[in-house]
Amino acid sequence: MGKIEFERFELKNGLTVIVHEDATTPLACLNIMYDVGSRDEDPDRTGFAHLFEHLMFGGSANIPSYDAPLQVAGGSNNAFTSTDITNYYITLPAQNLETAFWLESDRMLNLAFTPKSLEVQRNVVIEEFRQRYLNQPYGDAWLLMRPMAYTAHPYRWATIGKEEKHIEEATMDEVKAFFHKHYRPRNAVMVVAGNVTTENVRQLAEKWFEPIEKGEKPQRKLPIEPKQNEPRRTVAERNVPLDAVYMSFHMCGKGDKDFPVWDLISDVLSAGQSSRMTQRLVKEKQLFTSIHAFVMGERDPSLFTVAGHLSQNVTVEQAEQAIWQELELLKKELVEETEFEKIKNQAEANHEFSEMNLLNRAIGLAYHQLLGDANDINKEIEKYMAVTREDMMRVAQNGLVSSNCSTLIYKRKN
Amino acid sequence: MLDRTKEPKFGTIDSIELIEPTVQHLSNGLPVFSINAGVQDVLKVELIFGAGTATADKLLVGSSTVELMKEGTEKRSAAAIAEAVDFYGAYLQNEVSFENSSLSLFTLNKHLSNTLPTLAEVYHAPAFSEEELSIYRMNNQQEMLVKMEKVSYLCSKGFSSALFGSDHPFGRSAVPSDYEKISREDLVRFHQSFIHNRLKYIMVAGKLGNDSIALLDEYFGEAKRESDVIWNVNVPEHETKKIHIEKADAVQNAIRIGRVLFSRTHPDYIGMQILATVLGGYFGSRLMSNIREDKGYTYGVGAGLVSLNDTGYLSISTEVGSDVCAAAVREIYFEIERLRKDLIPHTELDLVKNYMLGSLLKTIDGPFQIAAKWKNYLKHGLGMDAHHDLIHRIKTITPERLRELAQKYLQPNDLIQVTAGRKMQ
Repeated sequence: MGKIEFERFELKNGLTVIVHEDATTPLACLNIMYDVGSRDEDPDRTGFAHLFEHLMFGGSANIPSYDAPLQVAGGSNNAFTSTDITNYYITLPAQNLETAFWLESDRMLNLAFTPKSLEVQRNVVIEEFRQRYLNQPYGDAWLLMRPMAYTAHPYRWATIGKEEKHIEEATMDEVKAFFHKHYRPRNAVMVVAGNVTTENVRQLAEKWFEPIEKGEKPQRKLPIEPKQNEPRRTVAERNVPLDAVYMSFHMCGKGDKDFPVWDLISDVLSAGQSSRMTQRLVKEKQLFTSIHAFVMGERDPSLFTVAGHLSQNVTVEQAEQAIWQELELLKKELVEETEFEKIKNQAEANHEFSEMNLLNRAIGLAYHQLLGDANDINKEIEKYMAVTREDMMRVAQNGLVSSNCSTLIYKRKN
Repeated sequence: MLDRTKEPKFGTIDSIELIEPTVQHLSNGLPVFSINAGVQDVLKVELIFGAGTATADKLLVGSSTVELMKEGTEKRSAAAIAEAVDFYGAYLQNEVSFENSSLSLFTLNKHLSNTLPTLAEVYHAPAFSEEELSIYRMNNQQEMLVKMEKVSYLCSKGFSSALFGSDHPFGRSAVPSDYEKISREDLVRFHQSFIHNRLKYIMVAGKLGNDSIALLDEYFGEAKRESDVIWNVNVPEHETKKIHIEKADAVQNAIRIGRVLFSRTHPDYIGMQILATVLGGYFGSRLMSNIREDKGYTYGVGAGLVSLNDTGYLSISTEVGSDVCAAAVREIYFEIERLRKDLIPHTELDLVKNYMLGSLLKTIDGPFQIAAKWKNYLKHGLGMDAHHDLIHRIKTITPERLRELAQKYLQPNDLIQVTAGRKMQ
């Protein structure tokens, strides 16, 4: 198992820089992860972190167009926002690395906020809201599940936001305040990976990023989600062709020692064609046309979810009962030895496949650094290998119980 | 003092190194192309067949055959096959297009001798049991109903039909009840004639062990090799078509605009590919700048060329707010007209050229990506010359030439327009 080698240093303004050298590629990646996501939003201004991500492409203090100079240097870029982070990345020919430093440092320095850019991006984000969440069957599942499963923690809204209205109402002052609070060097991790040298990256980082004012590290005081004590349920009547069931259970956050246990539980249930739910519920009993169990890897205590589309003529009661039967089995019997070996082999292989990609490695390093230590990326697989069958039974017994479950049912409108 | 208004010096890409595959032959003459690259101990073994969805007379037979191959063999049940692959953390993946299909094994190197036999078994002796077919039929029928709720799906299907004609092998489209019509015999026959006997070659990518070829010979060295299916793709002439597919409850409409063009081997293909990039092939493209970044009508819009074996087509696609659909369509034609009237400024064209070369560099980073690139070249009988030629043409194309191409191939009357969603105002 290959170890991801890296160097790490901090600039005077508190920006953490990580360098991962890989001479086998002609490319370089520059990845900046800001420690801000939708969990940091005001409940009356949801969708803001993501809207802000769009505004980051509207030109910065000294550079009117972000994209054009990058494309001219043969590069491309994108970004994504989650509940926890906002991540920006550039990939370009390694020889043109400095262009990436120039662009990224200028937009960390200051944005050139224009009313036009805000207006247009509000519209673009509303169209994204429609395309991905409203105009798709089951697209609003997380808009319904999150506010049911959470009562206090900001994970109760989705990253896209609670509603279009919050995005429509965003003002220029709010945008500026958000930038100055969250987009400071101390609130970011930069990873430079690919055909680069640490020495060169250090020089470029000092040249372009070190002059940026330090700023404060924003303090975060998020409400703690109280323990759920009774089953919750929402039935949504929608124009969908098949009924569907989503069941979410509270679980630990990404940094917790039980995280790999939950992840492996989801693998036993639905990783690969031979998994329990695919074999028994889709193929043998034919209750579902598809069914999946998954974790999200959020930093704060998160959700473990089982979601399936029901076969025609199967009732919601039958479907739920079948899912519960599978969950109960995890609590009653230890996972079989060979099955256990299988999911460990799968974890090992998935790890190896995902590390083929340079950008994945860069993002992984940045995320682990935000969680505490970039080097934990190299310990991740060991943590999976250390999980025991007893751990899986214990976690299932404590977590996969009805008083910890929020159920969302999609009913077909007639 | 650092001058942040001045961009750092950058270089243009002069050459792009593409690793050439090694070619070896198995006992039956079957070529094996190998890309030995990468640092992870993984392998992708891909069996490439010269048949796809358009090869079968009956709808859905091509895709169903390829997809059902891994659902059980003469020796082992679907569950046992799945177990045999999953146990080693490996997976099987199939791809099906109009004229080609493939079956791939992704595996850790150290498990190759355990996982390859399963790939071979799935290739040689799939069972196509009635029971598996019936599960497949039911699930796919129902998942198709889900897809039919998406305007993008309705629009793409309508677009293929409009491009090639709804009876043409590339234009016909299935409805859920078509799954009822496929029988076990259809699959067995298609597998025998077009998959099993028409394995064209094997592509292996990753960190190759010394024994890989010997192992492949053991399992594939006796496969029968019949000559390629001969294609006669007559694309019917058609009048200008504007089609709307109604979906009354949509909040966004999907738009596809394009036309039939030609395949990768046509002398104008690369020129048109560059033109499509200018129009809608990257984030700063004219369509993105206009309908997303200026007007906020959409989350995204794209344009690109698709190459089939002997033909190809241009496709411009987007999803926009239903209320601005008509306006978005107008802007798309406006941008096409601009390409026909005005020369593309040199600064913009230089940007596109550099961007395309940078993208090319990115698409051949890593063994699986290099293999995919070669698969595409091999499909058209092309080799390393094509790679050099592509770079040369990107670097040397002129605004004048691109305007000529736009005038020749982007006449509004030749374009087909399909929309899906709410009725347009």
